[in-house]
Amino acid sequence: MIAVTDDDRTYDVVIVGAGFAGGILAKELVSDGHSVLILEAGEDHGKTWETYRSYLDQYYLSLTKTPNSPYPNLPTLPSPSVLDITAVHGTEPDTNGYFVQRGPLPFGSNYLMAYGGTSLHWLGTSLRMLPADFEMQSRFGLGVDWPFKYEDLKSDYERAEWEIGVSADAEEQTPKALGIKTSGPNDNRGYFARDYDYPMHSIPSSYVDNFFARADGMPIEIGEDAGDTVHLKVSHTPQGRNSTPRRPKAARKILVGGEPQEQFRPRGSTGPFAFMGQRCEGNSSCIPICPIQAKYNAMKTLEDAKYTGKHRMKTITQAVASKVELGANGRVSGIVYKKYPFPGVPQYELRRARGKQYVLAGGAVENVTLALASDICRSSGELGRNLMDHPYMMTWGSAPEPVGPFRGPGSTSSYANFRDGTFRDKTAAFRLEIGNWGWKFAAGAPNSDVERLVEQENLYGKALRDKLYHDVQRQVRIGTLVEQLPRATNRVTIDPAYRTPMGEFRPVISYDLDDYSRAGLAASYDTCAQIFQRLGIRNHTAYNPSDAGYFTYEGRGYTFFGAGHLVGTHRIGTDKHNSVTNDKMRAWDHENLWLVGAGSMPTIATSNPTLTLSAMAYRAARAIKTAVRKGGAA
Amino acid sequence: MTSKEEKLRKTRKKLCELLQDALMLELTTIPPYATACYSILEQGQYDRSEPTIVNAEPIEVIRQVMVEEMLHMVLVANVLNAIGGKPELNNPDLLPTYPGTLLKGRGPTVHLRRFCPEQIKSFRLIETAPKDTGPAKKGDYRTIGGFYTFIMLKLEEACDVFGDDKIFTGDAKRQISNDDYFGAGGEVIEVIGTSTQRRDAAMAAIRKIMEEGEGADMGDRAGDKDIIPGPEGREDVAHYFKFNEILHSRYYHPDDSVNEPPTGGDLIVDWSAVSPMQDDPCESNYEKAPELAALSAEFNEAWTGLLDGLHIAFNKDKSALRALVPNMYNIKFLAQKLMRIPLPDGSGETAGPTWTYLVKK
Amino acid sequence: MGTVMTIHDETHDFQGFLIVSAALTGYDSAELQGTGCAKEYWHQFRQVLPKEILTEFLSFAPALGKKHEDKIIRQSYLSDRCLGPVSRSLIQLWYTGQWVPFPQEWRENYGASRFDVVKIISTRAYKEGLVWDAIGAHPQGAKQQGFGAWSLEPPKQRGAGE
Repeated sequence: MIAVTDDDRTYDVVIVGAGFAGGILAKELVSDGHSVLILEAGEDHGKTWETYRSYLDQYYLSLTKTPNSPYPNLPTLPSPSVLDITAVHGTEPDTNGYFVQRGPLPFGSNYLMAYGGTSLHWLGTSLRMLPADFEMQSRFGLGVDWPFKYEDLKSDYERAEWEIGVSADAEEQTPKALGIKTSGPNDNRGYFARDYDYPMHSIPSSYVDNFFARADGMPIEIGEDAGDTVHLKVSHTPQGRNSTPRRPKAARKILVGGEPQEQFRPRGSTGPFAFMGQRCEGNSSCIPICPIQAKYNAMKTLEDAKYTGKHRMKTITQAVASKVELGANGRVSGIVYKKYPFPGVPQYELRRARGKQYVLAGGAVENVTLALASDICRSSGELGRNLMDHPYMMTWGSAPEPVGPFRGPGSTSSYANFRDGTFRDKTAAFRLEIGNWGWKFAAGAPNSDVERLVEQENLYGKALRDKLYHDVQRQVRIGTLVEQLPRATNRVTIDPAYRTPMGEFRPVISYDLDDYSRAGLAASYDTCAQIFQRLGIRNHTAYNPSDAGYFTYEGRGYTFFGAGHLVGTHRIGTDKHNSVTNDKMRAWDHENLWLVGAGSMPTIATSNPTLTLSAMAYRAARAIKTAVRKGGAA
Repeated sequence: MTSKEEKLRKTRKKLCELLQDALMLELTTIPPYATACYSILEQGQYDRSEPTIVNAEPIEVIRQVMVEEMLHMVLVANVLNAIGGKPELNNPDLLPTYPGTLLKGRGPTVHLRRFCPEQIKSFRLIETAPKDTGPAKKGDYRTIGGFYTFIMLKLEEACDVFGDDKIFTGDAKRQISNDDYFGAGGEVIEVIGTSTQRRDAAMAAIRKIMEEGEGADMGDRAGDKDIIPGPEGREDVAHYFKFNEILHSRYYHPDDSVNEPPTGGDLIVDWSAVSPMQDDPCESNYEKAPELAALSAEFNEAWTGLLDGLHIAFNKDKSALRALVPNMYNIKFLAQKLMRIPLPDGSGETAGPTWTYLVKK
Repeated sequence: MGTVMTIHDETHDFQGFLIVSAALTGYDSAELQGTGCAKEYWHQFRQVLPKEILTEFLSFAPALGKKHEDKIIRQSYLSDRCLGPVSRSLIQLWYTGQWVPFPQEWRENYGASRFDVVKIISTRAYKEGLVWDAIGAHPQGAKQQGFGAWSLEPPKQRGAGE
């Protein structure tokens, strides 16, 4: 047994994880005068501008430019990689990567353990959920209801949108404007508060978007009765990347969470590059790295917290939280962490951090492995269960004319029509995301095109150059993000047989797609095929039984990937039997412990979870502030 | 025409000429700054034996000056449009050639050169504040600051004599706003409102140009009153000081004095990681190399397109500005391409952009 | 004397390398030098090729740029058992900045080099890959086109109709 050294200082709040949620919590808490310690397992990527630039170089030199490719993958602190995903066969788990995959289908999502977290390589999509998404059980008899409704999260959505810096226009983003036939009659009313708007205008549509918009108005049957038919509409996607700031109308300021706001000032890069990145410049590499940080990352919020908090705010990186310790009455008494001085070398010092309140903000999987390893939050039996993602399926083809791909953010628009509707009693809702980068994700373009034309089509010189233009300029791709329902069998567990070189538990994952999601994927494929027919796009989509994510539904085969949206493993709820925490994200079993992040979401629906988890961080922050002020008393 | 009307006409004509000269002055600085900036090789840690990233900072420092010069062009155009003038951006008789002088021979000579200490010193000279604005006020200006001092004086005189409403007669539709233009160089000042408001805005626009160039209080302090985005809200420094930062390999604090060296953090400069571009590139050097001549022509077409586009944006259609952004980047990448190609003369020097406006036939 | 000869040969060989590269890629030698990668690629090329194969590879350079160029490229380069894989790797190097190793069979017949491994030559090589220009885009993560450029009409095919 190695001795544990206690940290000298006791903080008001100890937060595990410096990502989206941890950043917002830290900023909120220090702004209120509380002291905060953040423990971050990864390295500090933003400490100096050289570090960030060196990741950019690493990206240029990576042969496969996967989401995690620019960032170090330490043997001591492995992050899941999309390259490790293989089909799971038989009863033996697949242990290729960091995840131990029990199947039956591989869980294809990843995240990043680093200062700033996965915000370093997110795409920036910042969607609110729809009212129906909070009431899946009441409306469709499926999944669970949230312990609160859309209306209750609305002002926190506003706060999150202004913190992240979301570019969109409210009038374009109501369910009605998006062309959604909502399942409830009043879902459209008051979706945005009257004096609210996003901080910046929409990111301009891509040329590809405008090509797809030619099919606008096309009727698509979804569900069983004719009344469900929707009319296609390409709509701007709200994005956490800098665009033109909105000028408040002279007399009325924009109200954000009830507070009037001055015009938004876009934040760009860190260090001497602060004048870069105040607008997106179209570097077309949001995933995995925005060279100018025009895309929001949590390092910006963490910088604010540091600046505001000064001595009240401390961050310790290269600190792997290893055990949550309990004292009397089930209260958390400390968090033991492994502080490693040399990235990649499994040598560490055991230390103990102490606070009045403790927050796990390490993401849906890491929160669970830490809690399981610490044998806490057990009474509901829900910890680690209900793992959800957006199964991500692609359809791709050749447009009849050049559409200018490989320019701009990865996606600027989508067909949001299918995000809700009465069809949701039998078929999962989905969103069709229009890709701006040709067949990059689908087939490795444009490098794969060079290889094909040189090695197989035997082209060279001018003819090669011309054919490349011809083929790649026509590449289009639609990505489907389909919802999943919470299932007890989709879960994260731990097993003493599987540990990292630092001795931490690796996540052991069981995962499958139910027929509800499969039906949604099949419906989305049919929709894409129809869109292709309407626009004269030659369909090149190919799903191969040898693909790791191959599955069948009603006799047809499809391939899905992970979307990196890890949700549901420590959900909020109404009592200690159906959930891990209450609606403020306080653990039912441990009065001074809070679990935040996308793991708190009871359902995933069709919106990328970042905005929702960020909004929920504000909700948790208020409750934590109250708890800190009240002190230890229950 | 009464003599007063005649005097007003002459005064307005003179003011327009001065502002047109100011527009050309701002434009003239951009090719030399850009050429030096684009000649710097930014090298990553994987491209060198030492694990440092070099020259990213000097590139950024010059780039910041450059984008502010572009903003200054927009500000001058706004003032010129506000008094009913017509900003000319593509008149070959007015456009700069290199080497050439600033302020019609009164100011320093500017060259197109690669990034080297002499060139940065010459940039510093361009942005030097006048020691005494007395002569400038009488029309004897030799620096940019002096010239703007003179313009402000003339503008105020004209307003006082004839009334603001007789001077600010331009079409408000021509005013470029922050929504039309974003060049990372700071906020655009629109010269709009009542004639008094327009007079104040015009003066504010000119003062902003002077502060960003030579510094607040004309050179006593490094700061230029612009706030660097970020939680700290630190003040940025003026162009003169930015060039001095490169020469000293050290950043300024906004409160540093013009007479003292900078006291901020390190700024690493590698003067050797630079394309060996010939000084003042000219077309005649490409006569024996048709492939080079073709690339140079492509560059000049892009430059011509930019000037034509700006002319349209300032005189007809503001929305033309947005389409110019890719054009500006294209100019950069074509310049860098030229600077990597050895000249056929075997000197070891490389080609470079000539920044020639191509006159339409 | 010997040194002078070497330098001369070097320059001459490098010029030959550019001429063959231009014919294989469809970009003229000024464009190729404009990438700033010509020297790096030449270095890589010499490291992976045995001297006699390099000599043979360059020997057709004087005949290029004239009549029958297509025949020379197809017959002497692309369909040649030795020079074919070499040419295809070189084309891909210019287009992607990435070295594509020779097939196993080639290595057995002509010799393996420890430099014949898959890699992106340098950060600049990635950014200057000709493929981005050919497809009318920009390298992802570099040479950005500016705010809103993605809305504009796609660029016309460069050199179309020449």
